[in-house]
Amino acid sequence: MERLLTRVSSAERTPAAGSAATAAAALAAALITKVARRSREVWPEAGGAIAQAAALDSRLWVNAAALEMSYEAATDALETSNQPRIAETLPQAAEDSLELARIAADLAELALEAGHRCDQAHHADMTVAAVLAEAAARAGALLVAVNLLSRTDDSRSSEARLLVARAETAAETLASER
Amino acid sequence: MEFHQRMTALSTATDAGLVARCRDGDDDAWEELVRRFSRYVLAIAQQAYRLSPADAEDVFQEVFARTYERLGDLRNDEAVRPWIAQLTRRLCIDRIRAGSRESADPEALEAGVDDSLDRLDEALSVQEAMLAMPDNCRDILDRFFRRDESYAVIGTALGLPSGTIASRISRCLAKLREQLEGREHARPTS
Repeated sequence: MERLLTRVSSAERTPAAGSAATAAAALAAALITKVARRSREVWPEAGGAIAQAAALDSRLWVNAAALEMSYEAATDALETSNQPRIAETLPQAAEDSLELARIAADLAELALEAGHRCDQAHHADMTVAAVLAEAAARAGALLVAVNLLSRTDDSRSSEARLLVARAETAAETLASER
Repeated sequence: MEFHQRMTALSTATDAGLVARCRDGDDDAWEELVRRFSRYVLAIAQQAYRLSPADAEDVFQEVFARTYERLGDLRNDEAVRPWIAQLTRRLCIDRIRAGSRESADPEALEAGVDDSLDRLDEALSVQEAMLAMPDNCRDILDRFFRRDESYAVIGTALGLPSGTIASRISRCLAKLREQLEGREHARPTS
């Protein structure tokens, strides 16, 4: 984490917002894993949540690498006003951002499931996990809009909005159960 | 029995059941046995012993030729997997020695192989346990863990609310674990 913070705060172009949002989602996955591990006595299927969090975490970091590359390519194209490259690279950056939102929305729903099944002493941890995942989903959706140059009629924009709504519902449900 | 039903029955048969049918001369059972263990044999040759694709293919042919000839010698039908693994190991070492034209050190050849074999065994056990799972569980686990599908995509494909997918996956994983533990207890030592 310290290494990531150092890299994000550097003057280099990447890692940037996509990686920061990925880290927020990864923290949500880590919290879910911790709580599931600490809830095995009351939650027989806790191992299933741990496995799902691990799979989602793995997808997050694979996507983070893709997101960095597509962001670099899109920024290069924009800085040089290379129209064919802009037309090629921005949609890819949007797709990678959308994938971040998809994974984050799944993590928010996994946090909701965990929040209901875990040792209730950890309910607040799962609320925080869902909030972090929602933030990542929202960031992913924002990056989709930026890379699509705010074309809200695009199917990716619609999907991103639905993903944010799912993550928000999960986080708000848990928060309302305090 | 219809062909499709027969092949489905064979694909879910235990290793011992399959061996017994092979010994009775059932060609379909032999085909299923080769299918079930082909990736395992190739993985041992290529991943554990790092044989070239051509050498691994030769080992593959030799393993199943000998298995066919010697299946009658197998003392415990449940032990067919470790038996095939041991046969594959011996043939891989023979192949490496033949290629090097020197007397290769067996200990050096075996370094790290056990770990690779443990991983391959584990993967094969999961694959076998998956075959014994109900269709709905096999499908949802395959979609999430192998095809990397999101909860929303799975929910749409299966007609389920995405909010219920995480709990369904957890339940199916618990069943898979039971399958694996059951097999572990039933497995003979080689």
